[in-house]
Formats: sequence, structure tokens, C-alpha cells
Amino acid sequence: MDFSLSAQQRELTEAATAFARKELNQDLAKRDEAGEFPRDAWRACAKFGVQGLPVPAELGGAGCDVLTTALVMEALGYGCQDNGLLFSLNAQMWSVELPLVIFGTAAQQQAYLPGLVSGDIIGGHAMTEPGTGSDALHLRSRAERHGDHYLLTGAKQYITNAPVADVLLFYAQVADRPGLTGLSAFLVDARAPGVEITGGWDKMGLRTSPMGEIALTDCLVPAENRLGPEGAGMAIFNSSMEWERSCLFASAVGAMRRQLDACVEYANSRQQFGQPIGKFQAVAGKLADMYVRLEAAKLLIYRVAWLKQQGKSAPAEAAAAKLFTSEAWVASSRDAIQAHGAWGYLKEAGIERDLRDAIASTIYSGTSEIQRVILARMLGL
Amino acid sequence: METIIKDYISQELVRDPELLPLADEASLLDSGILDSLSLLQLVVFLEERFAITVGDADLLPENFASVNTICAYLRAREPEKQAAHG
Repeated sequence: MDFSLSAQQRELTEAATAFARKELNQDLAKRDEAGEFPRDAWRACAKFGVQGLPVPAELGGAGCDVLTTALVMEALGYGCQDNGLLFSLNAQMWSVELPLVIFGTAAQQQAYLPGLVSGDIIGGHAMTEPGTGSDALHLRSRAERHGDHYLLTGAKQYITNAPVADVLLFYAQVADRPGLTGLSAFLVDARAPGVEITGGWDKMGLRTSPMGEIALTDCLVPAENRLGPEGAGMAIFNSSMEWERSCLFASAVGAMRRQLDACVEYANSRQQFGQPIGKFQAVAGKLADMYVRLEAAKLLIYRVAWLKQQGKSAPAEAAAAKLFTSEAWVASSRDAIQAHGAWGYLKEAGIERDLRDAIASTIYSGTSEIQRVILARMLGL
Repeated sequence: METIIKDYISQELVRDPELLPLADEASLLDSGILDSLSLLQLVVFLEERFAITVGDADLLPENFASVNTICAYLRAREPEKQAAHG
């Protein structure tokens, strides 16, 4: 494993950070307060090429390898303080675009990927239901085959991007096919008859990333909108989660690096008792701990990206990277507030927002508790 | 191949002793022997033991329904594996 950056990767990541600083942080405090999705920033990301990073060039994307994609997402996390926007982008990229790339027919790819990559349409991954969460695969949503269509019925909640989505990847159990053999995924037009989306929930963090509920009532979907064969739902879901755990958290690594840089700068400039506070071991040690967490998280993420690049399954490595990075981000966010003292506690400093956003990372894409369950099982326990 | 896979599943993945001994055609999904997590355990084992990579799109119920279907899937991968090493 060689994680030294090529000249091209260095150029790309520097450009991504510069782009993010210039175009993605405007009015963030106001948008965060209002819980407003930044559609202009979404379009700017598409123009820069973010949504197309993992999509093959022949399908309109940049066709970047996994590690390069993770490096760019990290660079965006470093330059962009809007963690909600990055979360929404990641949610679409790993759980809508990648399933289309891996499982989609040529017609499905042509129908959706160009729009998702260009920013003209937005995708949502509709899996979680009122009665499911960590027990993700025991769905109540049903799909009944009627000739060349399916009739979909079911309710989903906590769906990222739902209120702004144009297309939903909707998971349902095909009638008469029990258990995992019936779990299937469908591409559903968010404005189709029978689709009702509500949302705009008032969240603690990631407030610029819209989240909502979806209700499908006798929604007629053409059979050609089924992604993969009947029963491919678990494969699609597992694939999405592994990609998400491998790459989404690269943005958190970038955010931790941004926090550490800000803390070092503050610790060198803020004077107490006649010297910079960074000269006090209590403060310096905290920043040293932030550095250790950052480097460890980075290596875990890079290793998973490398494994994925080799085409290897990496469920344990992805779970470990997700678990460690999300909890490290929470710890880093707390340390950043503490290092800045009362100023860090004020909303106008923009430092506390990272903590509110980071806590969500220990819940989405499988809670910390579920990551530990996965790891225990992988250890043979 | 059947023996290797059956031994692994029997020793590492079967949690209910009443499901043993495992028949080659026994349903691994309906019996609950394979769930979303144990399937991933099995995939990691197969990748290491048989020096293959199992693509995301191959993780379909029909490929992992029984010891027999797993072996059929692995045998179908043989030409691809030989080409990669050839």
C-alpha cells in the first residue's frame, strides 16, 4: 500500500479545497439556522465534478479510482464547513449513483446518471422504515408484480435528500418471495402518482441536509425500473453501505484536519499568563490527541479505499474505519470547542456546529453499536 | 470444494446445532444460517480460501442459497480465475 499522493491527486485535492472555501461556505450560519438546503452549492459541486467522481467516464463521470475519490472528499471536508451539504452529496453518490453503476442496466444508467452527475436531479436512498433501522432488512414495504409493472406500497422515514429528491431508490419485499430472496430495489420517480414526501424535520445537526418521510400508496412502477434482479436488494444495500462507510467518512477526516489547523492557529495566537495557550501542556496535549485521531482515521479510510480499489470485500475494515472515524470526529469536535474556550461555545464562532454534525455520524450508515456487532461477527464471535 | 465450504459454514456460521449436519442442498437463507452479516463473513472466507474476488453484483440469493449453489458459482468463476493467472 502506497498512500503518497501523485501529482494529479495533489492538484485535484488542492483544487477541491480551494473550490470549497470559495463557493460552499457562503451564509452557512444563516442556512444552518434556517435548515436550508443549498441548491446553488449543489449545482456548483456538480460543475466542479463532485457528483461524478466515482462514475465511469463513459457514463458522464470522472471515473476516479476509489482512493482518489476519497482524497477529494477529504479535501472537500477540509475546505467546506457545510457538513450537511457534504452528507447529502455523499448520500447520493454512494447509495444511489454507485448502485446504478454496479447494478443498473444501460438504460437505467442513461436515464439517471447524467442528471445525477450534472446536478439537475437529486437522488435519495429509501431504505429505513418506521419499524426498522439497525434491523434494516426486515422491511414492511411490499412490491406486487402486475404484468410489466410493480405496485409499490410502504412507508420510509429518516430519508436523506427526500424533500428535494427527484428519484428514489426504494427497497421493498416482493410478494410471494420470502426473506432475503424477495428483497428488491426500485427506481421511483419522486413525483409519480402515489408518492407522498413530507419532511423538513428540525434536526440537531446536518441541518442543511434535508431529511424526510416517504409514503408510497399503490405506486405503479415499470418492471424495467427494478434495479438488479428480484432478490438483489440485500446485495445492493450491503454494497451501498460498504461504499458509504469507506468513502463518506473521508469528508469527516477533512473536517478533523480543518479543526486541528484552527486549534493550532488559535493556540498559537491566544495569550494567557503572558504566553500562547499552546505552550501549556494541557492544551498542547489535547491538540496532540486530535492529531493522533486524525492520522489513525485517515489510515483506516485510505486502507479501505485501497482494498475496494483491489475489488476486495472489506466489511470489517469498512466497519472499523466508520466506527473509529465517526467517534474520533465527535471527540475532535469536543476538543476543538474546549481548546477555543468560551469563544468555541458561541454559535457565531462556527465551531460548535461541527460537534452537532459529528454526532450524527455515529448514527447514520449504521450506528456505532451496529459497527461493533459487525466487527464481532467478523471476528467469529 | 463442497467439503471445505460445508465445514466452514458448519463450524463458523451455524448457530443452531439442530441444523447440523448440513446437506449440500439445504437452504442457507430460509434456515437463517446466512443473514446479511454471516453472508459477508462467508464472502471474506471464499475470497481468501479460493483466491477470488466476489463482486458486489454477485452477492445474490441464488448464488448463496445452498452449498451446491455456492460451489456452482465458484466453478463458474474458474475460467476467469485461470485467465487472470494465465
